Parts: sequence; structure tokens; C-alpha cells
Amino acid sequence: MHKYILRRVLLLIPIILGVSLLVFVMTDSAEGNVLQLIGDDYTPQQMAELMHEYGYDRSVLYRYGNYMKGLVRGNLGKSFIYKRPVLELYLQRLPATLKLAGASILVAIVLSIPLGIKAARSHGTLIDNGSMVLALLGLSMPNYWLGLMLAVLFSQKLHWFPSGGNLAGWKSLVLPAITLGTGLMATMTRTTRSSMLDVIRQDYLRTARAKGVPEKVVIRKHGLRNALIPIITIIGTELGKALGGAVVTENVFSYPGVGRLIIEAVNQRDTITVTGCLIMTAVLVAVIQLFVDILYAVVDPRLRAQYTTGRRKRGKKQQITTQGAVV
Amino acid sequence: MTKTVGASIDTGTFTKKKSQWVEVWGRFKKNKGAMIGLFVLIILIGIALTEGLWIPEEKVSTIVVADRLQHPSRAHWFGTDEMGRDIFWRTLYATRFSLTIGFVAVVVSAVIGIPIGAVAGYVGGKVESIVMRLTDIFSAIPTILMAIAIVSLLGRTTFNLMLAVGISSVPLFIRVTRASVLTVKNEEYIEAVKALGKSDLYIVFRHVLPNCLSPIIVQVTLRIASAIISSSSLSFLGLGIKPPTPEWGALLTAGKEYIMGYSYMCLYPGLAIMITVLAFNLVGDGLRDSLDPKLKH
Amino acid sequence: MNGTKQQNDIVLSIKDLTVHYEVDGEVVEAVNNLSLDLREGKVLGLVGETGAGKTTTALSILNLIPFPPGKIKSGEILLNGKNILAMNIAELERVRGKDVAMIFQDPMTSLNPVLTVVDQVMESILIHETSSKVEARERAIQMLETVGIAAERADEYPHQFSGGMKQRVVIAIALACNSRLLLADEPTTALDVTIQAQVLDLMLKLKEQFNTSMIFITHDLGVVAQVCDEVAVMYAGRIVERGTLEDVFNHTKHPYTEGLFNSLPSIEDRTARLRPIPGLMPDPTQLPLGCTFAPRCSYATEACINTRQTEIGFSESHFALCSRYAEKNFVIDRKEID
Repeated sequence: MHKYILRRVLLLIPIILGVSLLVFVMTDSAEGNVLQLIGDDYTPQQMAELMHEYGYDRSVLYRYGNYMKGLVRGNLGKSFIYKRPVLELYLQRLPATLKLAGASILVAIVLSIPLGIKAARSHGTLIDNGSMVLALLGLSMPNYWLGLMLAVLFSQKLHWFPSGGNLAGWKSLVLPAITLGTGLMATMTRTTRSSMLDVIRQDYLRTARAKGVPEKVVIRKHGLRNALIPIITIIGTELGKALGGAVVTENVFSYPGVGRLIIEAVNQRDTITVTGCLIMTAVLVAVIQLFVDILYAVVDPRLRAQYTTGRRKRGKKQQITTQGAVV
Repeated sequence: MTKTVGASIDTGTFTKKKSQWVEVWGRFKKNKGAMIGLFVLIILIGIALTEGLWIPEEKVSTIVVADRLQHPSRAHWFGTDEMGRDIFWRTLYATRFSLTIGFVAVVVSAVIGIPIGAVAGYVGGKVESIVMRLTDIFSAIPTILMAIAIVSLLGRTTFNLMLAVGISSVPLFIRVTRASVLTVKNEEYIEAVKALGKSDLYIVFRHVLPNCLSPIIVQVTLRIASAIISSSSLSFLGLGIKPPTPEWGALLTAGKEYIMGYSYMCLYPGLAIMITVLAFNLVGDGLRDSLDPKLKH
Repeated sequence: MNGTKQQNDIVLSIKDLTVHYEVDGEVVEAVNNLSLDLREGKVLGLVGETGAGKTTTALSILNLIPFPPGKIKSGEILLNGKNILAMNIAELERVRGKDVAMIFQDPMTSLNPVLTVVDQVMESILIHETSSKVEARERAIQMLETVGIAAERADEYPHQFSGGMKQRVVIAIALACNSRLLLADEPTTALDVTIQAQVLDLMLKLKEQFNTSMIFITHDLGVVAQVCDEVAVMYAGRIVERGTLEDVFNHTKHPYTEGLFNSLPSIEDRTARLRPIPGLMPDPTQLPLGCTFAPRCSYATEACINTRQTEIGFSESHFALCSRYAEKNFVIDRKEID
């Protein structure tokens, strides 16, 4: 098991390298050069110095090399516009985005799992088809449009929640979380439903009933436990999407997170910040994916066995602990 | 799904028999949601293709400052915007623009992604590993961010927008194609064609790919839906199509400024996007269910 | 247990059971007016082709017929004197696994993949008996050992076992609470022959050790000969012949039973052609009023096709559903063996 984890962590390194190269080359070439934009404020000599400082008198690879050297040490460069280290800017904004992503996933889970289960159990009925269309609707709405409409309704007309910023504590999170969560909810409901549908048909549910296991326990312990496995993987992917979708949502609600930072930076041609934020986001997504994969292996004994090959011999005492006993 | 293999005599192509498509259509018809979606799509595409003929130019771009910012009324069903233009007609006119963007973006994704995925899946080995690693790297960056990066890189034109949205969806096409190819390549008729001595390239494009069509078609439909949303999101963020072009995302961007008090400016174009995307999603889902009924039940 | 002195001996009594499945507007008559009795300590072999209604009968005993689309139309199933079909869900949950247990056909899919085997055996014990977790676990491990699974493997997961071992786990689960009645639905069909022998051996051992009554569902007459005391032959939802092993094997009466024996390849005469029963089972949505086997029966007459069949008795234990036996001298070709 540990070998599997180690392998996955090591795999992160090429990903980080690859992503940083990709992002760097893209944003670097985009330069149009902010330095030229602000060029009017500086004398030619100061410009030349600045260009040298940022390495623009050398090749892309040189800049990349420098950048990576810095990256490894945790230095992502200094923003042109804000005049502060990129890493610092990023870390300052990260908690807000994490809160938003977390809150939206929570909203999505709370709404989608019961709905998906209900839809599966009422397979083929109006409730089932209705929930699926509803889920699809959530997926079909442009994120920002929903945000705007919610803002108009709940903020402007009803004054229940603030329409922007992060100043009202948990209240500021509500509208953005619902906006972002709705899109996530769609996929999660559908996955929950199809997973449950799959599990409901399984023979081992019948075996459990034949044992006299109470129906509630059959659904929960035998059904859900199996159905949840694919859902956990989805949560990982959705979290990644949440971090992406946050960009737009944060914009609509003027929510001071990483997404907002990226857009501001892009609009002001602050490429160094864009690069740094993109790389950090990609790394974050990859790390989350890693956690989810490991969690998946922990929860599904069939996968666990695959990843512990070599330690398994018939007859030898097992070192894998049992799941908690019968609940 | 058991594929009946029917070989036609002269071309020697192994594809699904005609009757299977009829079956698929039969199943599709039963799906009410999908049929509604299809109906809506046909209308939308019809509008997009013919609008030059029946939407009067003036309605769309004439600026009548005196009429500006009027709420929906009998004269202006969706109200007017800040320049006095009728939002109803502009929204309608934007259909072509927005649909085109969606289509082109997906064409870009497909043209790049499908061959790569097919080759990777078919050839396997080192090539496949490298391609998949690269795909993983590419998809570590959330799609929207990738599109943003590409647009910043290339410059903010409409074409670049389509390119950006398209490229950011390439990993998905690579994955889906590769997965299908992996399933198909082990089937016996492929061995048969190989035994005939045909070149690998020929086999991939002539025999393997045509049999992978089902999941690819589904993806294409679903991707058009998401491309429309992505491109409008980018416009909304100021990175895409700018007003006064009649495109749903641009209409929303313009409307954003007046959201407090004139929310109708955003409401209707947004609804247009939602209905269009919903239609594509319904059809895509319906296709998925009818092409492989096992999955549903 | 309730019941008079006479009924104490009879563990299971099915009276006039009729089960229908409603699918796509059509009604499948899976089981029709089925009756049988089973005494304590006896093993009844329920024989028939696929689709004859054997599994449906077994599931009815547990009242586990999936509600849409299945429906128990009429009948009584008395288990130790109480009518299963009249019980509410709480009573049913008490009875299932405790008074009657079932071994299902396909071991590959009958076990929950995310629970260890000992957990799954323990579950029964914990539900029906008041024991602590520790005691339950001990008993579960004992039960696993009885079926031939080493104690060290108790904490393993189903996917770590082979098909034969999985089936043993299923048996262990069924036996966990020492039920009086065991329903075994083709427990050896999915296994290869050597494993089959081991499992059958095991079941015989259990019968001796615990005096368990069993209904053994199979389509394999060889297995019936090894394990069963009594036999009931099913065709299209009805029992067409029943009796002791001796009765049915050596004094076969019903043409269908004869057909089953005839279709067994003969080890003595290797070159003889196989003699399958011609035709197919009738469409269960359109069962005729008369004998359901008549279209395929070489002894059928007009009367057979039109008359409702009633059971004819040949001895205290032996009955067959064939109206031709009402005639004085009717015999089938299969010779009687004494």
C-alpha cells in the first residue's frame, strides 16, 4: 500500500514539471510584454535594467530555467503590478478560494446524494426522470448567469445575502457556493444514481435480505457502501472543476480569491502572476486527485489487493485490518 | 453491445449494419427528453442557418438612444439595451454566432484529439504512455484556466476564442478515443484485416475508428454544449467576444453593467444559452443511452 | 414452535402456491398451484429444467419475490406451522436466516465485495442471536472451518477466494444460525466437478450432524441420487411427479420424468444417440388448461390436452400429475426397477 502511495507521489513530479513548462511557455510568449506597456514610466536605461532583471534580454529557456530554480525554492517571481512576490499573493488569496470550493462541494453533496439515491430507488418513475432533467438543467446553466440571477434575486431584491466581497462571514459564501455547487451537483446526482442503480441490482443485496437483515441496513450497509465508491472518485474530479469554475464565480461576486487574482492579472498583462497562479492551481488539482485515488484504494478492498501484490500469500496471516465489525 | 459484423463486398468495410442504426433511432425516439432536445436543436439550427433571410438588420444594430434601457414591453419583448437596441432580436440573431463558435471549437478539439487518441490507443506501448502522460499534464490545468491562458497567448479575437476553447477540450477527446480504440482493437475482425496485410494507418482510420463512433458522437454533442458555455464565460470575463457583436456571452457582458435594475438584459440571453445547452445535453444523453442500452439498465 | 403433534414433524408445508410475474403487460405464470410437504431431517430434490419455476418457489418460501414484477397470487406457506405469506416485514426479518436459510446459485455475485467473509457470516448471528461480537466472531470462524475455510482467511475479502471457496462461504452464511430448513438453489452448478463433490459431501455431513431439512434445487439427476431422500419434478410451474427417491427413480410414472432420464447419456451404450425431449417448454404467458407437457408427450391424447390434470396417487408417498393413469392399464416405456 505504501509503495502505491509513494509511486503516486513521485508521479507528481513529472506532472509539476510538465505543467510548469507548458504554462510558462504559454504565458511567456504572450508577453506583448507588460514591461512595454508600462514602458512610458521609465527611462530607457531603467527599462533596460528592468528587462535584464526579468531576463527579457535572454531566451525563453533561460527564463524558464531561472523560473524553475526559483520554483524549487518556493519563489514564483514578483508581480509587475502588485510589486509583491507571486507566491505571497497566491497564498493570501488561496484560503478564500478553498473555502468557496469546499462549500460548493458540500452543497453539491448534500443535495445530490439523497436526490441520486431517491432517483435510483424510484427508477423509471417521474421522480427519476424529473431529477435527471433537473440535474441536466444545473449543468446547462452558465455559471455566471446563475450567479447574476441569484445575486439579483437574493441580494438586490430580498437583501438576504451580500452580492459581493468576503466581508459578511459565512453569508458571503452562500450565493457563490450555491452558484458553483449547482454545476457540480448535476454530475454528482447522475453518478450517484447510476451507481445506486448498478448496486440495487446486485445479488448480494438479495443475500443480505435472505439473512433477515433489516431493509434499512441492507440499503445502507450493503448498498450504499458499494455505491459510494465511484462517487468518491467523482468528488475528486469535481473538486478540480470547482477550482476552475471558481474563476468565473469569484468574478461575478467580486469574491477575493485566486480566481479573481488570475483574471485581474490577465487583464493587466501581469504574466508572472498568471504563470505562478496557474501552476499552483494545477499542482493543487493534481494533489487533490492523488488524495482521492488513495482514498479510493483504501475504501475498495478489491483495489487494495492490487496495490499490495507480493505481500499476499494464501494461508499467511493477513495484515490488512478488518473494516469495523457489523454495525 | 454485440456488434453484428457485416462486410460489404467491394469496400470490405466492417461497420454496423444499417439495421442497427434503425434500432438506435428507435430507442432514441422513446426518450422524451432527447426528442424534445432534438426538436429544439433543429429549430435553433434552422434559425442560425436562415436568419440572414428574415431578421432585418436594423432591428439588430440600430441605435436609438431615445429608446434605451426599456423594460420588456409589447414593443420590445425582451426590452432594450443601453443603446436602445431590441434585445429580443439581438438574442435571436446571436444564435448563429454562438452556435458557430460551439461547433468550430469542437471541430478543433476533435480534429486534434481524435487522431492522437486513436494512434495512442492502437499503437500502445511507449507511444501510448507518453501521450497519456502528456494528456495528464494538460488536464491538470482546469479547462477554463487553460482556455484563458491560450487566449491571452494568442490575442483576443473570435477565432482565437474558438481555438482556445477547442484546444482546452483536446485531452477529453484523446481519452475517449483511446478508450474506444482499446476496446475495438482487440476484436476479431481487426485481426482479420491485419491478416490481409493492410498498413496500420489504414486499419486505424478505415476500420477501427468507424466502429468507435458511438462514444465519440456522444462526446461531440456534449462538448458542443460545454463549448458554448465556455466561450460565453470567456466573453463574460472580458477575454472573448466584445460588445456590440451579437453573441450571447457578449450580450451578457454588456448587460452585466446594468444588472441592478435592468436584470432583463442578462436574463434572456442567459436563458437562450441555457435552453440551447440543455438541448444539446439532452440529445447527447439520449444518444448515449440509445447507443449502448446496457449502460442505462 | 406452534403446531399440533402431527405438524411438529412437518417443517414446511406449501399449499396451492401461485406466483405470477407481470412484465411489459404480459403475465408469466411462474408457479401454478404448487403443493408440497417436507418433514424434518429430509432432503427434497426439486428437479426441473431452467424456467420450470424452482427458484421462484424457493424465493417464495422466504417471501423474497421481487415485488415489481413478481406477485404471489395465492397460497399458503407454512413454516413450522406459521404462514410466511401472512407475516409482516418485521416477522419476516426474524424468520429469514434463522428458521429458513437459502444458498443462492451464483457464488460470484452473492457476496458483498467490501465486507470480509467473517463479517458476512457474523451478520446473521448478530441479527438473530443475542451474542456479543466476540462470541459471534468465534462462531462465525467455527462455521467457516466447518465448511473448509481456514481461520486465518476469515478476514479476507470475497474476491480473494476462488469460486468453490466463495460457495462455501455462502453455505457458511446460510448455516450460521442452524436453521431448521435450508434451501439450496443449484449450489453446485457453477462449480467444477471435483469441487462439486466436496460441496455435496459437506451438505451430507451437515444433514447428519444437524438433522437439517433441505430443499435441494437442481437439474442434475445424478446429484439428486447422491443427496436426496425425496424428489419433486417440476415442469412449467407445476409438480408433475413426486415421491421418495426410490419411487421416482425406480418406479417412474410421469412421461416428463421418463424423458429426463432418457436424455441422460448412457455410459454403457456409448454409441446410442442422445434422446432429448422434443420441443420446448411452453410459453409461460399462455399456459393451456390441460396438461402443459402434452405437446411434447409421446403418450398424449385429446383428453390430455383439454382436461385439467389432477394428481394420481400410486402409494402413500408417490404421486404424478397425469390423467392417463386414470385409465386401467396405462404404463410408460421406462421399466420399473425393483
